[in-house]
Amino acid sequence: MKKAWHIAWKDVKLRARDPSSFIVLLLMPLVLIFILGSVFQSGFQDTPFKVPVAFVDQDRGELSSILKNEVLKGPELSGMIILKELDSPEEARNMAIEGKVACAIILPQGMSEEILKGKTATILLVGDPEQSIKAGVAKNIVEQFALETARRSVILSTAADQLLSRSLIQPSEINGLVSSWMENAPAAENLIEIRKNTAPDQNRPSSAMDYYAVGMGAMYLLFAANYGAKSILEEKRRGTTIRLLTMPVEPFAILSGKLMGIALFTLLQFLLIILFSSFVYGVNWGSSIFGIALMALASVFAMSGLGALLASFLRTEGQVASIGPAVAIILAFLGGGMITIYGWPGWAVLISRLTPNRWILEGFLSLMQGNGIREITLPLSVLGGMGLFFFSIAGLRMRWRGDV
Amino acid sequence: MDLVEIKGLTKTYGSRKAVDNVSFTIEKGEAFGLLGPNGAGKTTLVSMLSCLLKPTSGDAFIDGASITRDPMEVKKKIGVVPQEISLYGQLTALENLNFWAQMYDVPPRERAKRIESLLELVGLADRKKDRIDRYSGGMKRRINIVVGLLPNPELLILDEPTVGVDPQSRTAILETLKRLNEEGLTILYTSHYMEEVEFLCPRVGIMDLGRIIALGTQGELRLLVGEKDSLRIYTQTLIPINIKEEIAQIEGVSEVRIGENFIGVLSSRGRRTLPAILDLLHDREVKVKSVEIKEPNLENVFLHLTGKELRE
Repeated sequence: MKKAWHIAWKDVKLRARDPSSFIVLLLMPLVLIFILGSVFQSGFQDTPFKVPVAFVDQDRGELSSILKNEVLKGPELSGMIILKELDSPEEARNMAIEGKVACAIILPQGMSEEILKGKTATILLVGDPEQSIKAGVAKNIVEQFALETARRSVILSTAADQLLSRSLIQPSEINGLVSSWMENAPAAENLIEIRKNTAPDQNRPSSAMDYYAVGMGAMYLLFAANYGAKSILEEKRRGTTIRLLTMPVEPFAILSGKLMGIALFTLLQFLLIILFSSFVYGVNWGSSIFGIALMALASVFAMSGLGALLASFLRTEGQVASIGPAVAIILAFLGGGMITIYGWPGWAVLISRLTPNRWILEGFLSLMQGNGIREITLPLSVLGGMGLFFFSIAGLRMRWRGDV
Repeated sequence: MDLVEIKGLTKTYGSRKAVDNVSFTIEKGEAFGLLGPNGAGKTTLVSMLSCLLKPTSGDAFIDGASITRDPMEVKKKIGVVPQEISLYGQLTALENLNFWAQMYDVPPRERAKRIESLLELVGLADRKKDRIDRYSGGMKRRINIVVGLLPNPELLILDEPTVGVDPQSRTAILETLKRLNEEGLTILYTSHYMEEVEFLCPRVGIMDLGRIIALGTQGELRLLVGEKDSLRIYTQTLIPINIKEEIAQIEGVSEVRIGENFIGVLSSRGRRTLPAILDLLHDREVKVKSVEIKEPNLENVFLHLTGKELRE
């Protein structure tokens, strides 16, 4: 393992002394982040956390009116919830399924009456799985409303029972009394605590600079990995691998050293991008240092593996130099590194999830929105799995082909 | 005492035998030369001894360790200098040597001292902090050899280590190797340059088409040719095709070879044959530019054994 480390460190030194690697792997991504971040900033201003909701009010009762006018259209949420009122539940459901809204809220006929009578009523929510965070916000609001309504219903029903049992009021007076209590009750938006923190931090939305720092960072990770992977073929051509094989070094140590070298160099490049973009461009990478470190490691692991895999299927340095960047650009495009991932159709989302770029974006964007490690477990796991898969195949291919 | 023992080594690629049933030994402290033209199988043989290639059959032992059964042990006993300059151009000589020393398991405490003394040996101590890509070809070759010496090997294997080197650097390299051999280092030296092998190696194996066709001391090999002189007559005009047979009939001539602008003759009567050959050429209106007469050497031996020249 010591020898593998020496090989890896030697590779990092070699790459670091190559002036072209400085231009291609550090200067280029930083310039691109700046250009894309500046050009597309206007499109980013109101993109995150506007939650489009289809609303069907078949109830047309007091409670549905409170939910619509005082909660969803209330001053607290009117800036975030974009309410589209519809008559047809079917139409609302379709809009959610097609991703035109994040969520459809359907209030059934007689809901207010049932609740006021102390009976059970069902509110139907249909969420778009691809806008799970936004749908979650809407779901939270409705849940809070339902809980608060149930609580008040129990209180009213208990109070009315008590008054009736003590003959302080007549049964015919109950409906009028409940209405007057409702009118005097504190406004609903003040009573319903909207759990904003279940949604990404809406006070700090991802800016274009933030977004492209991740997108371009991910793309250039593969560029860096290609650079490293190219060195395996370069060493073979120059005869240094052959020389290593005449020494008391296990082939496995040589292979591990080369792969470690790719990962180490890629990690250094990514850390420099994170630091520079953070201090110079003001990119907010999030507040969880541990989360950022884990995501950086997972991203580097997956992309280095992919770089090694590509090199293991290509025969010459020229092929790696031409095909590698092409693959990096295509993956960045498919993975949302070039066009923002918001509002993509289902099939495009599915394809993007096959790329490491998409998971890198999801993980880092989540951290940027104030989330912690728990929220990035899935991207971390997927990237770790991808890296393991890529490195295993690449290692087997390289041994089989006799690269080391 | 034999340090290297090669027993029936064979390497085949499909139906082609790159190395064909080669056997010989090298004594401890000996400098053994393997001479042969390009494609003779020298590099394949050396690659098997360096544990880079597995033999199709046969085995070789280096200080008792088998190249087929215990390659890692063999690798601890050898230093290899490949034909290519296998160094990292962007690193300095010192960084290169440190890296290779780590790969050879040179203990950290000895590393700096050993590197320094080897750099002194090849006269590059004052350039150790320069990047390799700023070195001349000859300097790179010298560092390339130093890498092979880093582990203090039992056996130093050099595969055409002077390819593309200027005469001055070549002399420096050969003199360094001769000195190391005199100090007790065992050397296996392959080359297609006869002069190098003649200078460095008292015992020589001549290889052609994958086989050892002659093996012995330089004196023993020269005896294969006999007391024959090698004449080379360079011409200014075209050489007639049928003149080869006419020269061959001159008394004392044992072999004739026609080149593009020269005639090579092996003659037992040495210089006395020359006037008759020149008369014949005059009669056939072939203009002579110059004449070279050589004592028997390994080149003649190879020519005698194979009918072709080493550097064809």
